[in-house]
Amino acid sequence: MPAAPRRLSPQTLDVLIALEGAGADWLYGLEVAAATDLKSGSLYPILARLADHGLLEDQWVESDRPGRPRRHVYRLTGAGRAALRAARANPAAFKLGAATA
Amino acid sequence: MTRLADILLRLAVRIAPPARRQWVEALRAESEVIEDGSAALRWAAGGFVAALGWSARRELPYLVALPAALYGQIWIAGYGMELAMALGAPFMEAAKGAQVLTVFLLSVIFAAWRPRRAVLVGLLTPILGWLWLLDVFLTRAERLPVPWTFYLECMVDFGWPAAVGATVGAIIGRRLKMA
Repeated sequence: MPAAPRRLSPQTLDVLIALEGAGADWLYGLEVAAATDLKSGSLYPILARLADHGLLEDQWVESDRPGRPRRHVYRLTGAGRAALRAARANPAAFKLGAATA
Repeated sequence: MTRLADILLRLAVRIAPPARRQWVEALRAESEVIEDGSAALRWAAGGFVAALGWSARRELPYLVALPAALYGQIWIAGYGMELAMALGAPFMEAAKGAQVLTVFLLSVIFAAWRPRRAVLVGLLTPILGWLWLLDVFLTRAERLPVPWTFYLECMVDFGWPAAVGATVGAIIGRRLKMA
């Protein structure tokens, strides 16, 4: 899906910070939601957008509870960390897509 | 309540555009882990809204273009009719011919764009064509006695090109998607 450059919202920044906090570990959607206090309806469009821009990677993993469906997990990519650094340095000028293209 | 959440997220998976479906599946997988029923329902409601938003964004160009084109067909057919009359075609034939051709072309284009909506397109285009003819006869064919069977005839006349156009469009659209 094409991803046009857009200004970074505070919620998107929260998601990037939460993912950065996990380091190299993968986070479940529920964990990101808990860390950012975002509702699912806001969180997943942000995650999808970040993935479109190559700022996060995602994968399906087996659930730790038997009989439950596989879960989707996320972590920042190198580009994601760089984007977060750039956003912190100059939040007003930073645009998703413009910096990551 | 978790059952309701599951139903909502199943529906969300269905309405989400294919490119976003895995994200709704991800939401659904997370909801399976939430123990509290009301929290699961809130999670599912959010997922449903997200799916609705993705779907609306994807469908917006189509939802704007279809009514615009249906309205625009009045003008396209009008110009077609003027052209046919300038070439010597009688008024009735020119009006019908232009409208039939416009209905056919619009049906092909919009059914090819979204083959799954071919039936809707096939039903919408002749109805508006009929309204256009009604307008023509009310404003241009002064005091022309038109029996009610004429309108029925028009519905049939425009129904066929719409049905054929929508079918052709759906076939083209499916082929293009497969290619």
